[in-house]
Amino acid sequence: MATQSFFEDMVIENAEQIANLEEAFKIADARGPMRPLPGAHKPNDDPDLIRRMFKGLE
Amino acid sequence: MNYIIVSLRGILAQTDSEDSVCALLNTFKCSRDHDREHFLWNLAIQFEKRCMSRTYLAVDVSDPSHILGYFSLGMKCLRLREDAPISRSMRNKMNVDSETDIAQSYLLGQLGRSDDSPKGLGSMLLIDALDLIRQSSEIVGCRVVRLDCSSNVESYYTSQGWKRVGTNESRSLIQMAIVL
Repeated sequence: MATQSFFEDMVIENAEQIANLEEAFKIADARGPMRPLPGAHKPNDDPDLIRRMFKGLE
Repeated sequence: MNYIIVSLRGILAQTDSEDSVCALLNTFKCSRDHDREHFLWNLAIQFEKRCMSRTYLAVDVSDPSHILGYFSLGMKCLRLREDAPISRSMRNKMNVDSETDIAQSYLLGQLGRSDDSPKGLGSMLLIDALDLIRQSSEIVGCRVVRLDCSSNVESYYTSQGWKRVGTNESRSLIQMAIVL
């Protein structure tokens, strides 16, 4: 992960890169649509929780 | 693992003082990789306001002022060189625009955990980030997710199902993708 990635596109220019992407699509197509991931946390923007975040800084 | 995900957008919407939010973000320490600190301390709020990315904080359940980790998501172009030897079916799968040779992709732009976070949090945050992108894809489409990483973590992302596509233009980063 890198801050730089927010400023750069992914550029596909050769057969090797295309083959890699094709492989990624093949894997996904064989798997089927991605289901909700078990154990994933949902964002929680509860006002009381956010108040407690700042209280801890005092 | 006991943590809660809070959106930076939600925090900014419920706080009058941006300075307080900066102070909160500045408590995040990641000595393994200072780019993680730099982004959260200096860019995350600016990117949030410009709608360039959305950042999500993982905070400790018992002390929510303790930021254990975070990730940032965005959208970026995936550009095909004019002479790239790509089949028509692949162009269709990627939804490449025939006039501009551009397709869209989700970007996992940042993911990091603090020095004092438990081991394994990074893998959990990767699941949280992918699940949010999966939900976005259900709403607006687009199947390709991209991340750029240094070569020393390539094998880790490969083990998590990501596929190396190539490198960035300066060849300093490995570009990886996963298809939803």
